[in-house]
Amino acid sequence: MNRIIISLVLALAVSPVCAALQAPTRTLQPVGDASMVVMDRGAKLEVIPTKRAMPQADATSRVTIHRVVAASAGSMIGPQQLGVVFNHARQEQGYISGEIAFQMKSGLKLSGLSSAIYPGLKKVTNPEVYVVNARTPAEFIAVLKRLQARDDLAWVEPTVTYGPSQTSVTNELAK
Amino acid sequence: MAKLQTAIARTRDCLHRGVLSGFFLVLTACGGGGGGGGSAAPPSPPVATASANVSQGQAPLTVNFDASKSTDPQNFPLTYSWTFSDGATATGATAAHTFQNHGSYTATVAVNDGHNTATSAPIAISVSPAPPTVQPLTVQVNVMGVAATAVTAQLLASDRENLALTYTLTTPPTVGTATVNSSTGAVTYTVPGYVTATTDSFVVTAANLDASSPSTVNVSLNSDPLLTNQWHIQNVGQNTFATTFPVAGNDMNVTGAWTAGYSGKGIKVGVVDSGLEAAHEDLAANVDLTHSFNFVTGTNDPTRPPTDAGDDHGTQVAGIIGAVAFNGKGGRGVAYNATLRGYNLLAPTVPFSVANFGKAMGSDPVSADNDLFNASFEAAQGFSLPTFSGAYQAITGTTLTLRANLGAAIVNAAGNDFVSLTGAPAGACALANQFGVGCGDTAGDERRGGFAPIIVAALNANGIHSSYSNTGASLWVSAPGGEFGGNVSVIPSQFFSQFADPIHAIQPAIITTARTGCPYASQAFFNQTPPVSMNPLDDQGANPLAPQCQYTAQMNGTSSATPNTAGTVAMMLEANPKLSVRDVKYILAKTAKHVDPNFTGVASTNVVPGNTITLEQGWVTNSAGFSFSNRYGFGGVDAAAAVAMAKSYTSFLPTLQNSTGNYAFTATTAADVVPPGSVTGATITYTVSEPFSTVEFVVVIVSLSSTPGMLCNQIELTSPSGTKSILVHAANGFQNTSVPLSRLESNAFYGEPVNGAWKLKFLDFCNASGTSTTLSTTQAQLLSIEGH
Repeated sequence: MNRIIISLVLALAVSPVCAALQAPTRTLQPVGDASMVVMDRGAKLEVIPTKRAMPQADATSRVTIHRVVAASAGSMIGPQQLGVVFNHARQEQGYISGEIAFQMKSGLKLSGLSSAIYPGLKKVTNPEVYVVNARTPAEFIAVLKRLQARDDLAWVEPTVTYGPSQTSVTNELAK
Repeated sequence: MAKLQTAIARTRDCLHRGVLSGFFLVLTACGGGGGGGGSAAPPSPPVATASANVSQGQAPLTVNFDASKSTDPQNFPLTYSWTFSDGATATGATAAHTFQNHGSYTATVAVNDGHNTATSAPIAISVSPAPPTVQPLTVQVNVMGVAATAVTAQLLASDRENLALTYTLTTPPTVGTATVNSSTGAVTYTVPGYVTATTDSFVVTAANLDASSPSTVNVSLNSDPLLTNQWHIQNVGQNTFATTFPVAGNDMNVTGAWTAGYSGKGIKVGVVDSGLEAAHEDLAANVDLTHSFNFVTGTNDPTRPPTDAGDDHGTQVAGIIGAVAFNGKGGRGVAYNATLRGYNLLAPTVPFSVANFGKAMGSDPVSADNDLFNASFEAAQGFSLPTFSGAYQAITGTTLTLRANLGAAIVNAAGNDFVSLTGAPAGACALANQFGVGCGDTAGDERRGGFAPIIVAALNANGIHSSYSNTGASLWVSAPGGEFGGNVSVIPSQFFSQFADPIHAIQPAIITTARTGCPYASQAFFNQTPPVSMNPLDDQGANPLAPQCQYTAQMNGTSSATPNTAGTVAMMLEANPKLSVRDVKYILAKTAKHVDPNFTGVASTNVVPGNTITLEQGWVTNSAGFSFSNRYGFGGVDAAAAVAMAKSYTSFLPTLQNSTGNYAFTATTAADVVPPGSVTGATITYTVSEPFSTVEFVVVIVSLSSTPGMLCNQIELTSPSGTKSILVHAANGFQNTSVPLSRLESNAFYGEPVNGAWKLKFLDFCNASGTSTTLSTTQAQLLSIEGH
């Protein structure tokens, strides 16, 4: 049996020295609608149901920019019309196609999932890694919470991508 | 014209001098008696007169003999019997006879009038050998370019009499040199290195006893016109189209791998990128469309449609790996015989998805038999320390089950954020720039996580860190990525002035294939239409070497370092198909060049006055003897050394084991705060006890909150052997305020002992005012180790 010894030594007894580094002042974006917040592996993910983002190539064709537009909360999300989220841990806007990945706990097999409540269920890889694809922000929240509530899953992860919105430019590719 | 001779024929009692009759040599002979006498006198014999149209010639020599001038005193009808010294006979007043072989022969004719016979004097015929027959020969020379190329071919000659032949070089070639084996006719043609000529010729003469045949041997010199500029293949300080020339010797040492006979043949490389121009003139022969995939169209052709604007990063990457060799077009790929398969996972109109990632990365039949994957991409905005992803981890883990569980390597770009982080708030990289450390980090993309990826940093043509290349503890090796490839003689001045870093702007970049069509030429730097000419190759089609802008000399980035490494891995797998991914990683580390040996890291007394704070260590040699740095990993890829070691490699690593102990610490109170402004920080000690002994990979998963962000926070891990690895340095550009389940990995401990006390230290070098870093009270700080 492995013996594990873990200790935390805090250096509180050491007087802080006069550090030269100054932390920048930042204004953090607060949660706007707590009912739209879902947890993603410890990060608060706030769904913005009234925005959609269209992925487009910029002039160089290397860069995906997101043209963000207003939308009704019930309009569809998908690969060409992404939903918009705000990751409060990263303090960054992100985009969702509705894809949520999950894996069964070791030794368990997936069974009995209805496509009505787990839309677009598809196996991605072994062992027992699947995705579902929610079609609206509300469904995204519902399916994510439904999956997170299960006790037979090892993990549940919404696929969130980050990148510039229409006016800014970045490069997904490593040049 | 045959040379005629006069001969004297003497028979019985007559002597006649041979006389010329036309072109015939006429020999006559008298029969006995003649004339006078009574009726009882016997008839006089005939007079035999024979001639030949030639007396000498080459075999087979056909000679026309004529005895029609023979006479008979009684005018009796005559019959003729010819005898040849080669044993043949003939009849008739005239006879044609062919002497098949060389030699000295005679022919005589016996003339009979029914009573007497007269025989002519012999006619001498001299037959010389025919010259040998030599088959035309064209020698195809695949010009290695980076080293001498010698090709031996067999000159095929035959002799109709099977006489022994000798061969001599009678006219030497003008481009290369040639030798010929005098007895076998084997010719060896040699070019010393790179040549611009496409043809050459020389003459070899085949001879038998006294006849010979000259034969022109034509040489087709098959090379790649841009190879001589490709410094990453072989750096001799040549012209690379950039203003600044490279420093000789700083290349990937591909020469030795090629001359050893390796080129990636039979190795299947998945190019997971923006696309791949399948019909490109310098790629098509190596592209396998049946195992490619287009995520936009759902077809198997990842070529970007003509309606798409801009260049194609994937086509540039593919050329570095496997541009076709010896075809007279463009440059040459590192693994120029590898099979290329394209997956346009990063097509800008297709959002990144886990499902697509899996499909491109070996979790689908379309990609499952790849031998390795090239992943020249990074997070679009890598300014957050990402949360650990089980999905990506599962998919990259699946690649380790490919190749019958030997694993298909993922060669992955480190990222290009050393100076700036795209999309990050203003000033995010100010401190990093001030201290000269990387702003971005290899930990900035969760898709790089795990044991599988081989993360590659970039080297420039001076042999040191490329100005943009990310640093990080999870690096494995470095490879040529170059700088920006600009040339001041071409770039309009109003654009050149836009370069933030004009020194690196004109240093060599990587020369490779590009999307065909000048309207698609790269606009990466100035976003101009038409694209701004960057150098004499990227010159809007003006250069005859790239009339359709189908080649570029401005590809760069860790995106270029990655396929250079992938090409090397392809040759390693060709040399030894039994290598596992772990063996590949071991060999790359073991054979890496100790680049920039004087690099001592970055330390400053301006972080915490009165203290020297090391933000980045230089080269650190761990207790297993491996030298590692966060800037270069284990060093620069040495293709020749790696392939040579792969070839003879038999010490395959034993089964990989994962630590099973629960090396976790969960803070219990809010007092578990990392003290601000402290050079001591907070340390967690994990006492590891595992049944395996040797480290291959160490992972720490941290969960903390930091206000106002990760700046000032430095995280260090020290092994039981005392080796320290800086997992995150204090001048980092990460903007997270919360870091839940972020995965930090280090290769610095490779080969060290597993067991003992591992110390994880959290430091916050910012002033206390307005900052705080607290460890999560709900998520543990975890340590795990993989090894054997």
